[in-house]
Amino acid sequence: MFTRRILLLAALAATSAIAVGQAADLTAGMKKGTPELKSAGPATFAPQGILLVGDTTGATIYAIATGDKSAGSPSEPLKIEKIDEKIAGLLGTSPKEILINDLAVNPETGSTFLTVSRGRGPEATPVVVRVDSAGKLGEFSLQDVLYSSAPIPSAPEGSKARQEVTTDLQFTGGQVIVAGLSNEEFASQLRVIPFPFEKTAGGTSVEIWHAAHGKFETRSPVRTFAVFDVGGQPNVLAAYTCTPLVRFPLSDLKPGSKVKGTTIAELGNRNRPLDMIVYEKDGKDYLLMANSARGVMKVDVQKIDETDGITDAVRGGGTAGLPYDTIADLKGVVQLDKLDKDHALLLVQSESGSLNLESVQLP
Amino acid sequence: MRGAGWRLGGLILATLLVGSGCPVTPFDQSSQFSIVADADKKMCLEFQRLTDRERAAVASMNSDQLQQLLAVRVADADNDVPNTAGTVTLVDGNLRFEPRYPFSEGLTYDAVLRRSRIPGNDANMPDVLEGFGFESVPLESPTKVTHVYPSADELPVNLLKFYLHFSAPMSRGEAYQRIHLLDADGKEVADPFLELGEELWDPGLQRFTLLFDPGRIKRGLKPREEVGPVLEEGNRYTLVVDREWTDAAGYPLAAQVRKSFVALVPDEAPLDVNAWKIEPPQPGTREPLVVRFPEPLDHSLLERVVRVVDADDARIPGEVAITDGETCWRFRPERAWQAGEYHLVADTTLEDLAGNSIGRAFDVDVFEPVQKQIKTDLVVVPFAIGP
Repeated sequence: MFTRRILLLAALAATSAIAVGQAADLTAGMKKGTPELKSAGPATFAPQGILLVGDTTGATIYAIATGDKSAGSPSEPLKIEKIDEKIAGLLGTSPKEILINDLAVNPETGSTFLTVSRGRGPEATPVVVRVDSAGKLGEFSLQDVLYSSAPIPSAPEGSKARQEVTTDLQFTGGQVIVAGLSNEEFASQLRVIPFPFEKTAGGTSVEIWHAAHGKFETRSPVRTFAVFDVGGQPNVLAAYTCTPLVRFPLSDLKPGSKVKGTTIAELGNRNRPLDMIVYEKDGKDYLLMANSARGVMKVDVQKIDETDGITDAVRGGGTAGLPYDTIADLKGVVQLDKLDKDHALLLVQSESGSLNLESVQLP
Repeated sequence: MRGAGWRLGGLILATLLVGSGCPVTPFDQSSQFSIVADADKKMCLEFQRLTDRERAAVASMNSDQLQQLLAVRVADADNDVPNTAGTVTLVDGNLRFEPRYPFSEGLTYDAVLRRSRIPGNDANMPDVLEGFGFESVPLESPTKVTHVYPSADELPVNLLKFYLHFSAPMSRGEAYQRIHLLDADGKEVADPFLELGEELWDPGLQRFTLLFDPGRIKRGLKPREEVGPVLEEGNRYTLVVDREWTDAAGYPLAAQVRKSFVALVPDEAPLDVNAWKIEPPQPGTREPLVVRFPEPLDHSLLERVVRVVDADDARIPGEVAITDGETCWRFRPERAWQAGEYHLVADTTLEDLAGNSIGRAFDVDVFEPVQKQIKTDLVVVPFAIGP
């Protein structure tokens, strides 16, 4: 049996940084200026306070050195009700003109960065809002920051209409992994970009396939994913748009390769994965996944390396593969990230439609 | 709860209402504040009634103190909503608030000048409070849905997507609330579509890509096993787009749009370029090259991934038109055709209505290797234009 251990993304990243030399400055080679984001979508943190933001409209991934400093440990749970209204007020507009696209917690400070659209049309302004660990909210200015960027080639021949929509991105082991979906052809786009970004490279695009029951294969787009360790090897744990949860070794993501994920769970009908994190509690490893319909699922991934993959149809509302619980208390969760070793930070849509930012104990 | 510090006694002295792009003169002479445009034509709020003594005092205040002097916030917001981000400066003797982002049309704001904080003023001097706002101007003609593709009214039961085209830019964030699929009895079909928070738009937000839930199309997956595919063969459906869907300017569509169709046999075969019929034009004319397909293909991909090159592989410039219910690709060159050898080139990503692409079905049955797989990214079909 393999030994297994899920490492937090931050811990994994920190390990990688150590592996390439503890003193390596990830901001080396960045330029100072104002990144011209056209949109601010999925976001995550690399070590050293570097915020990675997917800009779908601009077909670019930005790495921004936030210089974020800790505001001290919070004395009480973080809860900001109607955060959409507060952000709207700060930006001088109405809540209906605000879209919160993603949240990312800086694991080194506990600050939360929200990627926001001010406006909902094509002229919408991308904004990054920072909430410090004490709950204080303000715009994170992109003026005169250290940053670098990597293009995401959108279309040959400069098509005006095609876009590769970035659906999720993660930093791990010195590379940025970007999942995307085209607004035209149905195909997987998983891109691996070495970090720090090279001058020219947009990274390698890898085809990710999904086989149902070992029989029907599609080039299935990845909706959301997390990176974690199985038997000492980093793996990508991904939820496809067609719902199964799969895993594949990170080392499989090589140029020109065709990667087929092993289905480790089928989480049921009408269950659209939105966001996921991995964590450890009481010496056991779990995956926490927000879904559109089924609330938040806690998946026990203890036996992930013993799961051979699901090959038979699952009928009658049952589930297959790894066991999971639905956390009934957590309703309306649209985004989540890990706040610290014991807490998750959630963006929750209330019944009235407004959005709350709140920390909860990891279940 | 109303911000207590903002509308003392509910007293609002006047309301400035300035239409977008309107002149910068105040709405009326009783207004305490004025709306002015800065050098970048951004609307700013100004207090132009400082006394000479106040001007001199304000000139000596630092930027932090100035920020405390004049503030703006969205009217009727909760008490704990922060002030609107912006900077306060003294410009030509007037106190100016420049918002970080332009004031929004159709929204009202409250401004407060804490005049007692100007050095030399009486500590009990009342604040100057005023509401102001900007009218939004409707478009001359409301936004319409101009096309729904595929345009046919008989579609494969494993249909993968619709494209909705709009006459003007739309807004993000409400697409899936505004689109419905009804069965023959007018009852809404539950969860037919893949709902992505990002929403699949073109950059100009004038074309929306609506994917059916692939988990209910792909064979052998739990969603399909549990509740079956979205569409059933032989049944009639109606795609409904609500009039309430708002465009980028915040206005509803001109009208509700309904597209009725019947679901027919599944299409599980990859595209076969050998079945395409090329009708070459006469040399010396600008008549279109016509390519006919045995089935409708994806409208957007047909526009993008099919092209004509000459014998030297140089692309022929011209215009593409997709006609006959997306079964026909017409290409009119910029210059008259010359006799010679040409190639029709298509990326293998070209799909039919069920997501089958050139040489590859949407979901490949790996145990029945009847489909020859095409490994290249392009297919090339030669044709000649005769002398």
